[in-house]
Formats: sequence, C-alpha cells, structure tokens
Amino acid sequence: MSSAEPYVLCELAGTAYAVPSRAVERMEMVEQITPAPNAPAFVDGVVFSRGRVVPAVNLRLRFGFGWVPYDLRTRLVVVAHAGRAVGLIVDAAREFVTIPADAVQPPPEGLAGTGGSYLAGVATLAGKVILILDVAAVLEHTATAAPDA
Amino acid sequence: MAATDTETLRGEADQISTAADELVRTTDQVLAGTRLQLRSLDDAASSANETAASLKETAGQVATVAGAAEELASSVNEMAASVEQVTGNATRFNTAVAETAGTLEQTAAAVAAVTARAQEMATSATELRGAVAEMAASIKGVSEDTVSLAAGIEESSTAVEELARSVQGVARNADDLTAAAESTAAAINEMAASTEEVAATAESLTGEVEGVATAVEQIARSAAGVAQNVDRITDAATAAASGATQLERSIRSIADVTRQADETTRRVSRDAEAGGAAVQKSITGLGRVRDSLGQSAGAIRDMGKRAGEIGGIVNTINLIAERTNLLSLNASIEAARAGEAGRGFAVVAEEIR
Repeated sequence: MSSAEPYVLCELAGTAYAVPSRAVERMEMVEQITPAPNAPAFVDGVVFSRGRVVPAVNLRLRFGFGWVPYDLRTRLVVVAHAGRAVGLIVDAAREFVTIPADAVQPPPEGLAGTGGSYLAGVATLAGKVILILDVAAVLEHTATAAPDA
Repeated sequence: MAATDTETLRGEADQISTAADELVRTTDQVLAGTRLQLRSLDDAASSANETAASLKETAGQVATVAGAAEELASSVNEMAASVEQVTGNATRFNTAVAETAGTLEQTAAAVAAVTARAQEMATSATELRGAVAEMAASIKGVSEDTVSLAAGIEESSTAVEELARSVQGVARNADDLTAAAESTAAAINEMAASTEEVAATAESLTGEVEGVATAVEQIARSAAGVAQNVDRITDAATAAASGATQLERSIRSIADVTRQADETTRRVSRDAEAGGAAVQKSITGLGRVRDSLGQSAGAIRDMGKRAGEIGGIVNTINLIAERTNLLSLNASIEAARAGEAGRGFAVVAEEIR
C-alpha cells in the first residue's frame, strides 16, 4: 500500500464511505435519469455522462437501505474500472481527503454477505469511521447482475 | 323619528297658516272699520270746519253789529247835535227817534240773527260731539275686537310676513287717524280762537252800547258754552288718538310673537338637515373603511407573492453552492490524477471548497 491515497468521501445512510479518487471519473448531480426496463431493483436507470450511457446504481438499495428521493445534495459518482463505467448514487459527496495508509485496516471478519465483500478496508480519520469501497467488487457484481454494462 | 316631527311641524304650520289667513281677514275687517272711522272723523272735521266757518261768520256779524253800534253811537251823537242845533222841530226829532228805533230794531234783528247763528253753531257742536262719541264707541269696539284677536292668536309661519305688511298698513292708517284727530284738534283750536275773538268783540261791544249789552252777553255765554263743548271734543279726540296708539301697540306685539315662531320653525328645519348630513357623512366614512380593507387584502396578497419569490431565490443560491462544490471536487479529482503537475490546481480546488 502507498503512504497516503486521495479519496472522495461519500455519505450514505449516515455512514461515510471513501472511494479512491483514481477510480472516480467524475462527479455529477442526478439531473436526468432514464428508467431502464428489465433492470435489477437497485438500478434506478441510465444517465448520459460525457457522451456515453452509464447505468445508475442506487447504492442505498444495493446495500439494503431504503430508497429516498433525490435532493440537491444527491450525487452520481461515475467510477470506471477495466473499461467498465458505473454511476453510483449516494446521499452526498462533498469532501476530498487524503487517508494515510497506516490509518487503514482490513475489513472486519464478522461482516458477512454482500456488504462485507464490497469493502476494501476501514479507516479512521479525525475520530470518524470511514468505510473504504472496493470499486472492482462493486462493479463486478453490478456487471453480473445487469445484462447490459 | 325626525320624519314624524317634520310632519307634525308641517301639520302645525298648515294650521298656523289657516289661522294666519283668518287673522289677515280679521285685520282686513279692522282695516275697513278703521277706514269708516277715518271717514266719520273726516266728517267730524268738516263739520268742525263748518262750525269754525259759521263762528267766523258770527264774529264777522258781531263785528258788523259792533260797526252798526258804532254807527248808532255816532248817529246818536249826530242826533244829539242836531237836537241841540234844531229846536222846536218835534216832528224831525220824532222822525230821528223813529229812525233810531228802526236802527235799534235792525240791531235787534242782527243780534237775533247772531243768536240764531249761535244756536245753529251749538246744534252743529252737539252733532259734532255726537259724531265724536260715535267714533269713540267704534274705536272702543275695535280695541275690544283687538283684545279678543290677541287672545286667539297662536304661533304662525311664513304667512305672518303678509300679516305684518297688512299690520303696517293698519298702523299707517292709525297714523292717518292720529293726524286727522290732530288736524281736528287744530281746527277746533282755530274755532276756539275765533270764539275768543268773538267774546272779546262782544265785551267791547257791551262797553260801548247799552241796549245791545244783554244780547252780547248772551253771545259771550254761548261762546263760553261752545268753548266748553270744544274742550270736550278735544278730550274725545285725544282719547281716540290714545285708543289708536294702543291698537298700534297690540298689533306690534302680535308681529313680534309671530316673528319668534318663524325663527323657531327655521331652527327646527336646520337641525333636521344637520342630522341628515351627519348620517350621510357616516355612510361615506364606512364606504371608505371598506375600500381601505380591500386595499389591505391586496397588499397582503402581494406580500405572499414576494415570499414565494424569495423562496425561489434561496433555492437558486443553494443550487449554485452545490454546483460550486461539485466543480471543485471534480477539479481535485483531476488534479490528483495529474499528480505533481496538478498540485497548484488541487490547492485552488481545495480553496473553493
């Protein structure tokens, strides 16, 4: 692991999640979302981002939280990995932080199920607990779930 | 309530105008009666003038008598002279005596004529006294009528002005009456003066002629009697004048009462108008209150719209803030990707956030 990595801090159901900024293509507001037929429940639809159509995954639904309506703070985090791009809808994403490597710990073993496999680790920053997302895991599962990526 | 009062007032005013009409009629009657009295006074004055004229005649005749007596005295002197001059002509003396007797007879006839004239004068004076007594009686009747008139009068309205004018005509006629009485008194004074002249002439006559003295004394006595009657006539005329003055005073007081009633009526109608005007003013004021309430409602509606606009502006500001944050975040992401080259950029993006 490198000494310190930059992350984008997202808020989801009161929890702080960190997405490595290297994986983030760009961030947007959810302005125009087109519902897609035959899509899984957690896919709200598709959005147009930089000339391409990107699926929009509602992370709340993905992680088992209830759906809430979008507001001014809702963000679409477009992540890319191995040529695939997915948009993650989160409650808010306002901070850009650098987390030192020694602050990161592996995810606890107790977390079973889909929730645990998406985490790359857990970090503490200024007394705050931050869950670090494993983007590849998120994308992989999404890819398999959705017929069109 | 003001309506009924006004109606009552109108009814009373009608009654009053009817009473005023009656009053006018009665006053016209009074006027006619006064004119009659004026005429009888004129007659009295003319008969008094006649009396004065006959008295003058009497004075002239008495003067003639005096002249005749003087002539007699001078002829008697002549006679005496001729008697002294002519002695022994008894026939001429007798003739002269007969002439004297004839002259004396003429004198006696003249005196008898004077006596007759004086008797005529006495009769005229009696007639005059009777006419003046009639006049006094009629005037008394008029004043009684006026008293009953004053007792019967109540408050009146605008017809009173007409009445005042008629009253002024009556007052003027009363003035004429007073003037006629005064001229009568003046004529009677003249008469008295003439009578005095007669008396004086008669006295001088008594001093000069013996045989005529008794007749002249009689004349003087008649003149005194005439003067007495004249005094009585003057008193009657004065009483008539004072009666007319009282009449004028009563009529004036009637005019005052009716004037007061007119003022009261006018005041009542003015108050009724003021009451109506006050009600109109409050109606107008209430209308203005309603208008201003409508304006207030409009102002409140406008305020509601403004509040909505303010809310929209706040939303826009929030949106701008969110977009700014988003832009800076994207800038940081790109700067991190650029690595060393993007460090300055990263700082700026951080500042924006």
